[in-house]
Amino acid sequence: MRNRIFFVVLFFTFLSIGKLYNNILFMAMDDEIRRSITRLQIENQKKPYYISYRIEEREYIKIKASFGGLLYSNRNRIRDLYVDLRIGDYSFDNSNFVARISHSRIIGSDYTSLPLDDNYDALRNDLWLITDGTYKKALEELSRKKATIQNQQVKDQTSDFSKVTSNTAMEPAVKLAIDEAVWENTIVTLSRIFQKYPDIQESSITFYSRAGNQYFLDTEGSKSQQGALLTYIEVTAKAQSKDGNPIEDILGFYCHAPDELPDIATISRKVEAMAETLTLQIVLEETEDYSGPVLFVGQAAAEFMFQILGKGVSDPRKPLFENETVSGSAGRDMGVLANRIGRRVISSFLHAYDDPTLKKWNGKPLVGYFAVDDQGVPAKKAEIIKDGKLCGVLMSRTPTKKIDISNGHGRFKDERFGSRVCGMVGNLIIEADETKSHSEMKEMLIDICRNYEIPYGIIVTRLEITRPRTLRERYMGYFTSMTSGSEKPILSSPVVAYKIDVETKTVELIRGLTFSSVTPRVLRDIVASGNEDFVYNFVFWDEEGNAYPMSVITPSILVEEMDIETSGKKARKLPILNHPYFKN
Amino acid sequence: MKKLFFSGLCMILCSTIFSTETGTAGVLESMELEMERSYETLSKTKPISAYFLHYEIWDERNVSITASWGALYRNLDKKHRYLDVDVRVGSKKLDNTHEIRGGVNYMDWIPSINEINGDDDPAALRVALWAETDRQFKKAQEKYIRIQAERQVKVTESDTSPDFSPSTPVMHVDEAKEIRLDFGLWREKVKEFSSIFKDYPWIYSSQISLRAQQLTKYQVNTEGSKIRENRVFYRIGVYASTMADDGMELYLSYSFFSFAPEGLPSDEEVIAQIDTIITHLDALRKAPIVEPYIGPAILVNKASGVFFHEIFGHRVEGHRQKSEFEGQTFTKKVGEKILPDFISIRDDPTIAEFNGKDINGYYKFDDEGVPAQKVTIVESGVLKGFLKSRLPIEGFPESNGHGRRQYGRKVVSRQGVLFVTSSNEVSMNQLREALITECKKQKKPFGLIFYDISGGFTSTGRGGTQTFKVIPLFVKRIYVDGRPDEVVRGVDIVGTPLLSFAKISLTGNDYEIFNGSCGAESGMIPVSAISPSIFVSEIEVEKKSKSQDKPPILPSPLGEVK
Repeated sequence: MRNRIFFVVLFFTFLSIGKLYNNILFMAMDDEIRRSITRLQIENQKKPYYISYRIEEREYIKIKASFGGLLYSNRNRIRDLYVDLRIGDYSFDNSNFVARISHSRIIGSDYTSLPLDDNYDALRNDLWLITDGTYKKALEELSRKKATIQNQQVKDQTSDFSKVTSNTAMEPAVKLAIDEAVWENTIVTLSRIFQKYPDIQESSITFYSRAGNQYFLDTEGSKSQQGALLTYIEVTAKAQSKDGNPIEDILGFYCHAPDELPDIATISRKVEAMAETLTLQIVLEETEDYSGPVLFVGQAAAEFMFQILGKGVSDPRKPLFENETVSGSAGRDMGVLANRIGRRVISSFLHAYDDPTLKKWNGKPLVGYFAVDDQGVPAKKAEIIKDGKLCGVLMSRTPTKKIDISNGHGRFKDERFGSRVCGMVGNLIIEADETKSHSEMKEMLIDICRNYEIPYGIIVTRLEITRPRTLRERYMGYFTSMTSGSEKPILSSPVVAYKIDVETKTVELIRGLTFSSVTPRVLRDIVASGNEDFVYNFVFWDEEGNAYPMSVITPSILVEEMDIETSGKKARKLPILNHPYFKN
Repeated sequence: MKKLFFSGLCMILCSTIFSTETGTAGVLESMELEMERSYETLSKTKPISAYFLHYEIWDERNVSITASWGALYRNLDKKHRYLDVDVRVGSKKLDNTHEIRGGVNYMDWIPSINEINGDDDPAALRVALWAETDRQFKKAQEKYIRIQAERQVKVTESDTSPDFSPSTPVMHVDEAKEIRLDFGLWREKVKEFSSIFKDYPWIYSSQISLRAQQLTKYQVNTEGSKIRENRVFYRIGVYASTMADDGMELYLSYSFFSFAPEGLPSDEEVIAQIDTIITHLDALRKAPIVEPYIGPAILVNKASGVFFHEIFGHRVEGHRQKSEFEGQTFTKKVGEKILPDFISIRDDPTIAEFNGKDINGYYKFDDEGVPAQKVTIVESGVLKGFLKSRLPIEGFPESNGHGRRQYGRKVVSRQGVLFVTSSNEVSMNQLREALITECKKQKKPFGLIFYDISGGFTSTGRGGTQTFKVIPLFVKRIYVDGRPDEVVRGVDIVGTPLLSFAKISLTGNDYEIFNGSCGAESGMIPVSAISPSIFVSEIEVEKKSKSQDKPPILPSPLGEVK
C-alpha cells in the first residue's frame, strides 16, 4: 500500500514537470512562422518582414452572488491566438493605421480561437489560415495607408516599428487550483452581509480567479512563456439618496493567488464599512459648490494618479485614421501628457516610474506584474517623472517622434475597428522628496482654507472606478450613433468624501460631488504628499471592454485648489414598494 | 366551452404535482408572493396604476462541446437564470405597450437582460423581483404619459382595437427534467468525428458540435396563471467550409435534433452525414457559377420549409398587421385567396414529433402564459387568420398562444411549427418530370433543384421594398436533354412574396421537418417548419455577391506534413 502511494506521487511529479513548458504549441508556431516568413507571398506583392504569434491561454472561474443567493458559478478555459504581421519595413509598414477592412468569413484575420488540446494538426491549420487572412488584410492596409497619407497630406515621418534585441524568457506554466464549492459558499455568505442594510437596494459580490499563460514567438528570434494568476473579489452596492440621486460604490480586493486575499473577517469588515458609509450618505443633502484645497487619501490618491498621470503617459502615439467614421474613441483619453518630454508636468518634489517586473511591494502583491509584454519584449522599469519633469512615457514597439525604443509596456488593445498594442501602466509608483504625516497634511489643508477664507476643506478617500459600458449602453450607442462619444471628464467623481471644519476640525461625511474643469495642469497644483504609501491593485476596463490588471503605489496628495460642483446626477423616483426583505 | 373544461382539468392535475415538488414550487411561490405584494400597491398607485403584472423566469443550463481536426475547442457547462417582468399600466383598451408613432422606437428592442440568483433562495429572489418590478413600473408610467400626449396630436390609427386581450388563467407544472448524457464519452466522440475532415486539406474550417440545453420557464401573472414548463434538447451539428478558386465562400451544415439522448444519431449516421457534406462541398467548389436566371425550379422539402418560414410565416405574425410601420402584405386579405387552392398552412406548436423526429418549435405555453394552439392560417389557398400574441388586431381579438421571446426582450407574435400541406401531391419523380416539361414549354435548357437553403432575409417594413432573398447552399441544374444533373453555385433566390406564391403549381408527397432558430425583434427562438417539396413554375435567382478574397496562398499544413 505504501509503495503504491509513493508511486502515484512520483508519477504526478513527473507529469507536472512535463507540463511546465508547452512544446507542442511552440512547435506548431515555429513550423508555421518559418513557412510563412519565407513563402507567404502573392505575386507582385511584398512578403511580410515580421510575424509574431502570441497565444493567450486562460482558465478561470467566476462566481457571483447577491443577497444570499448564488447568481452563477462558471468555469471556463479558452485559448486565443493573436497575430502581428507586418509588410513594408520598420520605418513604414501597414501598422498605425485604422480603416474599415472587410474580411472573409471563412479565413479571419488578427486573432482566432485555438484548440484547448495540444493537437499539432489543429494548431497548424488555425495558424495557417489566420496568417493567410492577416497577410491579405495587411496588404490592403498598406495600400490604403499610402493613399490616405497622400490624400491627407500627412508629413509625419515617424517610423512604425522599433527594433529590439531578441530574447528568450521561459517561466513555468501556472494552473488554477480552486475549490469551487468552498468559494461559492464564501461568496454567498459574504453577500448576505447586505441583509443588514435596508437602505441598500441592489448589491452583488463577484469572485474571479484565473490562471493565464502566454506563449510568444516571432521571426526576430524572440521566444517567451509566462504565467500569471489573477484573483479578485468585487463588491458593488447601489442605493438612492432621499432625494432620488443614485449612490453606488465598488469595492475590490485584487491579488495573484487566492491565498493572498485578505481573510474573510477583514473582507466582511470592509464590506460592512462600505455599506454603512452608503447608508449614511442616503440622508445627506448634496454639498454646495466648492473651490479650494482637496486632500486625496488612499484609493482616491491612487485613482487620481492613474487617471491623470498614468493614462496621460500611456498610448503615446495615435494611429492614422482613414476617415472620421473610424476614429471612434480609440484611446482618446490617453497620452495627453506624452508630448511634454523634458517639461515640468507635476510638482517638482514628485518622481514617478512604472515597473511591471515588481511582483510585490512591502509584502503586498502587485497585480500589474508581468515579465514580458504583449510584443514579447521583456518589461523594464520606465522612468516617467524626475523632479516633476516628464522624462519618459510608457512605450510599446510603436515609436513616437522622440522615442523609438520599447520599454516593454506594450499591451494588446482591441478596438472597434481593429486592434493595436500600446504602452500602458503596469505598476505605477509615485515617490516624493518631502513627505508629511496624515495630521500634518490635514493641518496644511486647514491652513490653505484659512488663507482663502473658506469655512471647510475637503478630503476624498474613494473615487469612482471606470467601468466599460454595459451591453445595453453599447446597443444604445449604436442607435444614437456617435452622440455617446461625448468627452468624459479626465477625473472621475468622489464616492466617499468628507469636509473638515476649519474652526472645530470636525470631520463630516458629504455626498454628491463632482470635479469641474479638471485638466492635467492639476498635477502641478499638488502642494504636499503624505509619508505613507498606499498600494492600490485594480483592473482597469477601457471603453472597448479590454481589461488590464494594474497597480499604483502612491502617497496621499494635497491639491491646492480644485473646483467642485454638485454631481448633477439624474434623480430617479424612490422605490414605490418597500424592500421585500425589510418590509414591516 | 371546450377551453374552459381544459383549464379546469389542468388545475386538478397540477395541484397534486405541486405538493410533491416543494423544491421548485418554491420559485413559483416566491414569484407569486412578490407579485401579489407589488400588485396590491401598484394597482392603487395614483394617477397611473398597474392593471397587470407578469413574471417570467428562465432557468438555463447550457452544455456546449465543439471540436475540429480531432481537437477540443470548446467545453462549456454554464448555468444562468434570467428574469423578465412585464408591467401594464392604464387599461386593456389603452396601455403602455401601445405603439408610439413618432418613428420606429429602436430602444424598445434593445435587450435588457436581467440575471438573477440561480439557487432558489427566496430572499434573494424576491429582492430581484422587487427591484425589476419597480424599474418596469416606472418605465411603463413614463411611456404611458407619452402615449396619452401623442394621442391628442395625431390622427386615429387605422386599427383601433385595444392593446391587450383577455385570457383564461392557467395552472400547469411540468415534472422536473435534467440533461442526461455521458459528456465524457461524447467529448471523445465529437473529437473523433471532427478528425475525419483531416483527410481533406481543401476544407479550411470544419466543426462538430454537441449542444445540450435544459430550460425551465416559470411564469406567473396577476390573472392567476402559474406555469412551470421544462424543455431539454440535444443537438449535434456538422459544419464544413471551403473557398472556390475564385474566392467564393462555400459552406454546408447539418444538425441532428432530439429531446432525448436516445434520439441522438448513431455513430454511423453522423459519419454518413459528414461524408455527404464532404462530397457535396467537393462538388460545389468545382461547380460552375449560375448566371442570373428566371425559370422553373423545385424546392426540396426542407428548403421549401425555410422558404415558407421566411417569405410567408413572418408576414402572418399578428403584430405586423397592426403596426403602422409594417408593409402589411396580408392585413386586408383575410378571406381572400393568397396561395394556390391546393395549399393549406397551419402553425401548430403543440406537436412534439413528426415522422419520428422531434420538433424544435414545440412548446406548451407561450411567453404570455397562453397555451400553444394550432392555428389555421391558410385553408385551400384562402387566408384565414394570423399568429397571435395577446395584442388584439382588428377581427382577431384573442391570442392563439404565439406570443414568444428570448429572455430580456418584449413579446411579439412569432412562428412555432409552420406546417405546409398540399392536396396536389405527386412523387418526387413526377415532380421532376413536371419540372422538365415546364422547362421545355418555357424553352429553357434546364431547371433548378434547391436541396438546401441556409436561411434568408425578408423585409416586412413599410419603408423598404417588400422583397425577400434566400440563400441556397446546394443547388443542381436539371437538363431537359437528359444530361446528368449538375451541381452549381453562386445564386441567391430573390423575389416578391405574392408573386412567388402564385407560381407554385405542384408539390411532392415527401413531407420533411426543418428544425432551426429564428431571430427577430423578440430575439432568437426555436422554430420548425414542415413542408413537402414544391414545384414553382418561375423563380428568380441572382448572382451571389462574393468576397474579394483569394483562397489561401500556401497549401494546407495538413497536406504538407503528410
